[in-house]
Amino acid sequence: MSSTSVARFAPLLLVAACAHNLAPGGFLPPPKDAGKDLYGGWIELVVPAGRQDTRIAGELIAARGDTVWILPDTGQGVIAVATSTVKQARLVGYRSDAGAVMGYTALGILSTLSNGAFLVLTAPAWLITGIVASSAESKTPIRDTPPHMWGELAAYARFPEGLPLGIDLAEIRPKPGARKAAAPNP
Amino acid sequence: MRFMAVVLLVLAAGCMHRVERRLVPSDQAATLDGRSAYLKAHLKNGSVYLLFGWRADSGGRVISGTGQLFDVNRAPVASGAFRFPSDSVALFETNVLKKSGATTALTVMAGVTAVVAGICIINPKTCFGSCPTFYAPDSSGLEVMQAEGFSASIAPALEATDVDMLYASRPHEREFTIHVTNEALETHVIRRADLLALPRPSGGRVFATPGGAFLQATGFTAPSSCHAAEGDCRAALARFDGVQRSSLTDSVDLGARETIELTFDSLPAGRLGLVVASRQTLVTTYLLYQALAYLGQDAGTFLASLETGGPALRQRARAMNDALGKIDVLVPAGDEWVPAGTTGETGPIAVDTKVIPLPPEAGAQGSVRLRLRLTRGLWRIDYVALVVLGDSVEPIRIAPKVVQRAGATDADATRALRDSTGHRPLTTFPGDAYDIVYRLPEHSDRYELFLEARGYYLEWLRREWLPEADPARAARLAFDPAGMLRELAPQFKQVEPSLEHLFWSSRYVQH
Repeated sequence: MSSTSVARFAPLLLVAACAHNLAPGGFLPPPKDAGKDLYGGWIELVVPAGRQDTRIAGELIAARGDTVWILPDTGQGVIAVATSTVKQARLVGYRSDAGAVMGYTALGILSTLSNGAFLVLTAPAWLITGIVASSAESKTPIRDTPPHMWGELAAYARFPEGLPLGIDLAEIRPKPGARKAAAPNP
Repeated sequence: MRFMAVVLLVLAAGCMHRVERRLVPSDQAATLDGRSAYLKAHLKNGSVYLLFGWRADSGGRVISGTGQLFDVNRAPVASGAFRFPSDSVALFETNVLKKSGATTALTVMAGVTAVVAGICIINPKTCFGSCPTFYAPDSSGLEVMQAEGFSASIAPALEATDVDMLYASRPHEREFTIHVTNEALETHVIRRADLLALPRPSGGRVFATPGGAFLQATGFTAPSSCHAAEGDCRAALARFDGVQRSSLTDSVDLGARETIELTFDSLPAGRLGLVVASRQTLVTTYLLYQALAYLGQDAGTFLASLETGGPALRQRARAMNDALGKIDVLVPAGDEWVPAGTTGETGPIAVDTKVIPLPPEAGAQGSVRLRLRLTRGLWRIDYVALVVLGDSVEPIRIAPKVVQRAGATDADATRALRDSTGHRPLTTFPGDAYDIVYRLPEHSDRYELFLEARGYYLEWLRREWLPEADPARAARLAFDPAGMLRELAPQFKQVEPSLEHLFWSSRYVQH
């Protein structure tokens, strides 16, 4: 692969290597704000429904071994899902810095122009490093079940201590400001 | 660009983080991680305190801090300084930012890039290769580098034809493919790339003379002795095996000469010639880049002026090459040594093989003494052998049958290299690679193959060279090359030990 090919395909390879989540834009905080964000992470469940699987996505309100509570972005209020019916779940606790890694990788590849013909070595090295790093980075805020236990997912719930006793689920409001439309977040 | 690498180094070191979130039961408040800027205290009713400047006092029994209390929908209900017992809390939450593993990886890469950029800035002439490079199959079918095209043709006005022996090739099939690459930051203009096939004599080979004739040769005889400044050099020169004899340049004059004394005993009968296989070191590449650096912004103008400047200017452009000279083959004549011929082709990549016919009296005394006179540190000699020269033979010219790129026929490239007028040459850019397919005559293994390439190439001027612009020195390279070879010697000696390694590390290798 020539250096021009590396440059041409670098963005595609970087994006393809990253794990994606479909949290609405602006829903998840960046790492530096995760400590002061008061809402749950974004969770997607795959639940069998007849012959096809159904996806349920929304803010994780609470989770325990037998039940997970979600506030979907469909406006229908909090729903409780029996964990025994869930085939697969993916929780994203915060917005990863994979986008920054991709940006730095792109700048890094560009900077190899200063390396003369050595860029034939350093540009692919940047690309490979960038792919591996952004892929790893994109996965850091993700918890999949399985293999994780439901209790582990609770750390990124709005109520990590469990659903408060006597709470009226109908009163729970979604996070304000998050855009409704689902948009990919690396 | 080096600045960018340094900036990357700084940015990458501080920017990417992951979050380490810990949940702590209220009865373990003493273990709360004080590195967390914020503390969340989740209450049993679903409310949550968000505190900064927080503390866990009295063994974790009391929590204090400044912040806000939020309800289940995270609407603020109170703010200010808070102090409450930890057992009123269901769960504490801390979040500590950790440096991401990606930060380390990108920092390392930025460091590597900065170091390489530094090397290229200190010595930019080591970061770039030269000339079209041709790879052809050897006798076992393995593709090996065997020729570099028109290395001295650095401008259209210096376009030249270059004939290279494909010494390692002995084709067993009629279809023969040569892989040509552009492995440098250059534009290559290849007007022709024909094969020349010449009938081999039984048990012999065919060699080209520096004058362009092709002579059959048999009776190969290795030197009985070989002496140079470093001592016995016979082992390096007796076989064409890639083990090459070279020396270091003189520390005060890059034009200083040295000699190699050769003796051949047990002479075969017949007219004798000396086969010499050699390639240059990186001295000429270094000097070319230095010349372009001295020309600075005017390099393009100068190269263009070669077109209109006439033969005198073109001769001036070759002055440095002339000052460096080639490999002179000398024979004894009484008490003196007189030239029998000269060999050696510009270019550091592929070995060039030529035969120099010796005067008829050379073997009259039962042995032959020869002297090679060459510039110190300029040549790598792989092989010398005495041969008996046979008939002069005429080549069969074979134009490319088809030219392929990435395994598919490239119609434009095929047209370009099959066009005998050369009006539409093949132009290649860094990283380009083509396979040129030829159809050899029947009994192809009975032919010696040569590649005849014609064209020129254009160096891409590097921004790093511009600070060295010095028109006066550029002029001296043309008008006082011997003086400049002395002036540049100390500068070259500083990079000489690492030059070869850096050069070969810097090439695109895509064949």
